[in-house]
Amino acid sequence: MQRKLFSRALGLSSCALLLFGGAVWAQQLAQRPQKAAPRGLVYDAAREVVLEGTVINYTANSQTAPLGARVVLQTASGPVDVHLGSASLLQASNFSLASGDVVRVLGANASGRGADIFLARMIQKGAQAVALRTPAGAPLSIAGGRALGGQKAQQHGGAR
Amino acid sequence: MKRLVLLGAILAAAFAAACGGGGTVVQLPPPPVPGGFSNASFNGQYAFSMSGRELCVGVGSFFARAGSITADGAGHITGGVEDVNTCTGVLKLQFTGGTYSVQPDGRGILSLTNNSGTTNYSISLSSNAQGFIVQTDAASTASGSLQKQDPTAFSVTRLAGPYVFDVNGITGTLDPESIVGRFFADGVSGLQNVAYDSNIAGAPSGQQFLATGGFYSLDANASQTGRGTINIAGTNYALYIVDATRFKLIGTGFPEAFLGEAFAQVPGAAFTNASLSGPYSFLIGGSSTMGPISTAGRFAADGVGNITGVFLDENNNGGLTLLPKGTVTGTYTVDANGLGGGTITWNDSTVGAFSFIFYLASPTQAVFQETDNQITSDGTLLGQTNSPITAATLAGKYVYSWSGVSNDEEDFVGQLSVSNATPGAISGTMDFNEFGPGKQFFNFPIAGTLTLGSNPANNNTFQVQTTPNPPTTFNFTAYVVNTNTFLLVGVDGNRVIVGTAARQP
Repeated sequence: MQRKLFSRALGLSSCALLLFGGAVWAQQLAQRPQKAAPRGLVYDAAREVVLEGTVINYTANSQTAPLGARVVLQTASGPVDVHLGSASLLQASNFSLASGDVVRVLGANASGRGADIFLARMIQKGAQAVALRTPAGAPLSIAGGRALGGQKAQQHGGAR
Repeated sequence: MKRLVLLGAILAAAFAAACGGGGTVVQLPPPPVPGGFSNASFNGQYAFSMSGRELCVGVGSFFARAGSITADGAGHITGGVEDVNTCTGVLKLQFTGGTYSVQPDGRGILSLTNNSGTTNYSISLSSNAQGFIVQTDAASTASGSLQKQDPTAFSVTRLAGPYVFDVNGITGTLDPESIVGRFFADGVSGLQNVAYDSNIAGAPSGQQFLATGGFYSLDANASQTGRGTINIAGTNYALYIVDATRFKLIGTGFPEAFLGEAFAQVPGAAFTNASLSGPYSFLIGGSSTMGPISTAGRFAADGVGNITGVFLDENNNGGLTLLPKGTVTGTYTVDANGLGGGTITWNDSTVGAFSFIFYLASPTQAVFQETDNQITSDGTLLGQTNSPITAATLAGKYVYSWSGVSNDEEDFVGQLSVSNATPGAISGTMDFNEFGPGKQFFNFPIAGTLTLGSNPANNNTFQVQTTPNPPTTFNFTAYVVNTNTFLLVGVDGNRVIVGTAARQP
């Protein structure tokens, strides 16, 4: 965002430069190729749906790809393998999963190359919901505690 | 330059499970080691940078640090400063002291003290001038590199000319981002002709260009630290000068967090397709929709736009893709504006397409970014040797560091020997941090084998095992850059890990 703001400020304050330098600008901007078809599993936000189901099995640290927390839900349309990303955000939020739990999951199905898995962006059990991915589909576990935000993120002790 | 910006990239992908508890710190007695290093080998001012995971709200969180320390050659840190981008904000901290010790094999330990306390590190020196560093605290693990600083370069007039840069981290919206590009530093305070490509959560920006795109200055006391600040296309960083050809970057905005480096570009070069010619090795890391991803490989460019000889190992959160699987065809284009940017695309008839952006520092060094859908990954592209690669030419002593994620983040640093008498046999020692109480391990022996492929310029097998029990085996594919450096990408399905080995004298 800061970069965008800076670019906007430059644009507003450098009209004369742009008027005379626009041709150079255009010439110097290199073209990039069109994006190729994805070859791996992708998160398609346009295909987001909400699943509701009962937990059949939960694994905090799957040792097969994709690694991380996975839950198999029994839904009205059959069992669904759901990838939750890292278990760390669930655990930090005191969000537990066990067989028989009824949960709702917002996410998108991803398939290809022999895999078929539901990628969760948010999971809810009872009144508690935990965000697991950004709206763009990136795992929030990368940011970790930053994703939990606010005053909670002030809880860090020890040497820096 | 043995190592550019690769470990920071993989750590941007850190994808950690919750920390386990219990256990005790395991510290084995160090084995007797040959070599010519001592405390006197670590003497002078060093710039360092690293990124990793810190414990925050009970969960691992991305963080980065960069700074400058002064070592007295006798085991004491006499001063320095660092910038740390943490989960609570960005801190600038003065070092008030510290200690270190360096063993004969170049491995060592380091502690740094500031007004918040003391942090601890393991290091491995490839020479008196550079090495790898891993933070070894229970609440923070990180890996990176350190280089001896050239104090004569601590002036804005020395930071002049064209540079390429690569930074990666997370945005204010907590999406992963990689930025690669180039700029011209005017030797006074301004950056011109800033061209860059950003990739946020696997969505490439296309090249952006700012004729006047930033500014920089050095601190009033920069003569003691080499620290300054720089704004590149709107993003603020602290910089730490290594020398006139290289400086480290750490983002000072919050909640976003970035770490990277800038490298001098060949002055006056007008890059064309002919600038990319010959064999290259590369190593990149980052994240995908699935989690952490690391990729290493090699290819050859013919100088007129064609790519051949592609070999590649990709580990996408435990899912492995190895090329070639089908028939691979590829092309590349160096941007017509001559600024050194360009694109590479190849397609494996079975697996699909791979696409990349690069910015050349020279015809044999570039920053490298993948631009495939929902993959944010970057690192280094290096010219590969044309000289014979054999067990004999690779034999010798190396320092190494690798890092990544299994159940949690893990960072390793150490020293190993590749035997000449028993070709390919590996022995060595390492320290590692698996992030959490009782998960710091020191002086662990390792043993293994470097098995060269039928054409060692392509891919090779590198396997090491820790001892004592319970042993852990790490399987890598090794891509040789030259007889001083090889790149490592983990091919185990239960961890995503990447690293580098650099020859010692």
